[in-house]
Amino acid sequence: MKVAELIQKRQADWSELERLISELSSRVRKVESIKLRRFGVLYRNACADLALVTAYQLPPDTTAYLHDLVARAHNQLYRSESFQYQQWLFVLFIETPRRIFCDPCVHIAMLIFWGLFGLSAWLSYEQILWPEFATSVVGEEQLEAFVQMYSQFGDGRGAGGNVAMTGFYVFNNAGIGLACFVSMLFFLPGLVTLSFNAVYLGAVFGFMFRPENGEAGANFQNFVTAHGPFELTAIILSAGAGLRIGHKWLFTGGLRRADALKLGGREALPIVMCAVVLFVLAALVEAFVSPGASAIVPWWVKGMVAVGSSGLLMFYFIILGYPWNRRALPRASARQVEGML
Amino acid sequence: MSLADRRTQTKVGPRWDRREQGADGLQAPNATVLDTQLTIETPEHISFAFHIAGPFRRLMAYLLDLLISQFLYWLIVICLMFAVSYFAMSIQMAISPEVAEFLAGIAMALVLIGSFCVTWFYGAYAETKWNGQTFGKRLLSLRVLSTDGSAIDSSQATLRNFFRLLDLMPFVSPLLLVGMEPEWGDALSVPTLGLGLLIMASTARFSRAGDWVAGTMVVFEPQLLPSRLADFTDSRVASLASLIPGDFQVSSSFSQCLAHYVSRRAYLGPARCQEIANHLVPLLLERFQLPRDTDSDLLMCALYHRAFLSTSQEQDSDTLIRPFVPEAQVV
Repeated sequence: MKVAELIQKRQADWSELERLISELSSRVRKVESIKLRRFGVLYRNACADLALVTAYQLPPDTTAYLHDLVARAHNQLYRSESFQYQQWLFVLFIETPRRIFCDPCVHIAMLIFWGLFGLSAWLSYEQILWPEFATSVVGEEQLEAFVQMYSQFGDGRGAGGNVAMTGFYVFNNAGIGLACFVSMLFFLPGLVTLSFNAVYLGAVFGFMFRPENGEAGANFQNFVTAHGPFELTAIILSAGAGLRIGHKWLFTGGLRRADALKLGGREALPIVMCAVVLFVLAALVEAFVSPGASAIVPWWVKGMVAVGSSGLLMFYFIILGYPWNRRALPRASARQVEGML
Repeated sequence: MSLADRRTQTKVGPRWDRREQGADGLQAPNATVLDTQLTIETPEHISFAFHIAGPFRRLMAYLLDLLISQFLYWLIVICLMFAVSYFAMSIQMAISPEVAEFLAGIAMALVLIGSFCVTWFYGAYAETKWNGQTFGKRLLSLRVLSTDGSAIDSSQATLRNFFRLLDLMPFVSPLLLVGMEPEWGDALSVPTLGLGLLIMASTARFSRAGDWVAGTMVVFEPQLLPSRLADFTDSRVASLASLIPGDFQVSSSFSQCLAHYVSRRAYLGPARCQEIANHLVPLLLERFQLPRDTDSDLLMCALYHRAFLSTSQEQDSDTLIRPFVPEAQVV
């Protein structure tokens, strides 16, 4: 048979397949089942044509066209799975807390953060061992600005200001958390960020609680108590998630580096999403409860909020997180690993 | 059948690997040489090639996305603000300042949270929803796929978009250009994309850090027009083709060569055509026992005519097994 005739004969099918591809990819409305069936037939035919290009002796540009056609049809056939909302409950309440509970990277991030935080707070509070510690970490002007800020703190903001600040805290803090997570890929910058945050926060805390800053210190304590648990946990979680990826890519555990990295990414994603949720919760508390003047929101309410949120976190991470039965694996599921190798 | 079983198998690697694949015969011969082609073997046992997209096309898509997501978002916000204030003025709403402040606060919070979502989650949402494409990618015919050629899932889309921040690094403050010392944490910093470009240049599939972590790649998916065979108006071509001996078989590689020649003929000019054809034609003229002064270009066209446009002999050496031509049927 003439090649020209052959191409002409097959061209009708190819054009029809092309029309179906554009219909499927635009997806304005549902495609009828009869068309989907037709799509399958046409796709297999195009595949067969492509397999036989050498036998048919098709010219190269027809071959290129067929490659392109089959590739586009393939991408319509094997589509991305849409968000599976039913799975979210499982991921949120079973998989994520277990993963966090068992993840040594989160433990390490926690140790680093609280260790440096405590050390720095102590150094900054007592003034005998290293008197210039706080000023050398935070800077004299910054410290004065803090004292200034918190001595005037008293009446709180108006309600509108509170709501607006929620948005700001979400935008700013969650963004910083995600940035911390991302920069952990290269391990060192991430560790530096985490340690810097811990030392800086510790120094500020220690300084503000010094007896000489009586009024400002009390106000500071008043402000930070309520949202502290959520926010500090979120910082630790985002650092821990980043550490998981950075660690995977240094210590591959026998996998190829690229595969180990992919695995680390899968394991870290729920942790960092959990951190984002905590940042949002912290922003809500920080905007509405923390700045409330003592007349409206008394100190004990803020304390209760802190206790309640800590309790909630403990329930989530320890009660839900403890691997009660070994059936649900806290690591990446076997299927994912298998699919990757 | 589980998804894992239906996973397509990928063959990608450095060039020396790819050359070996050519030997298994599954692959179109021209897929082995080009660097940015990736061969995928599908569950239908067919290999086809993807073009991996390069950094600059992807940069364009990213800029378009940025324009669409950020610019459009703030445009909508500003329009809404004007509309609401105009509406409030026109009905002369009398509200106390506290309520007004509260409402303004809510609006502000929504705007900021929306901006957070657009910044961090637009790409993830779009790529999951539209099968690996965002608006910008769609306009530039790009698509994100897993490295094995299958479609990406939501977690991959989220991860690769989170890590974009890393690819935009290092951030440089434009204040440095005018000789000012930027302050730590200055908001005025411009992404240079240096790191992303560096990582892309050093990986096999132009993967940026996000692609790396999520195990994805970006392919170029152009919509090629169906090709046409050359049509000769010159009647001498057909008559010369009939003079070529009937037992001469145009082999597979020779027909590819002829197709390349004829498709580029229009761009070359007669002198260059003669020069190229003269590598081959004298030998053929001798073999066909045609006069020495036959035009070389004309003979090439005649051979093309023989290979593609006229009926070939049945005992074709390349098609000893007659290919089964599948017919499209709806059962």
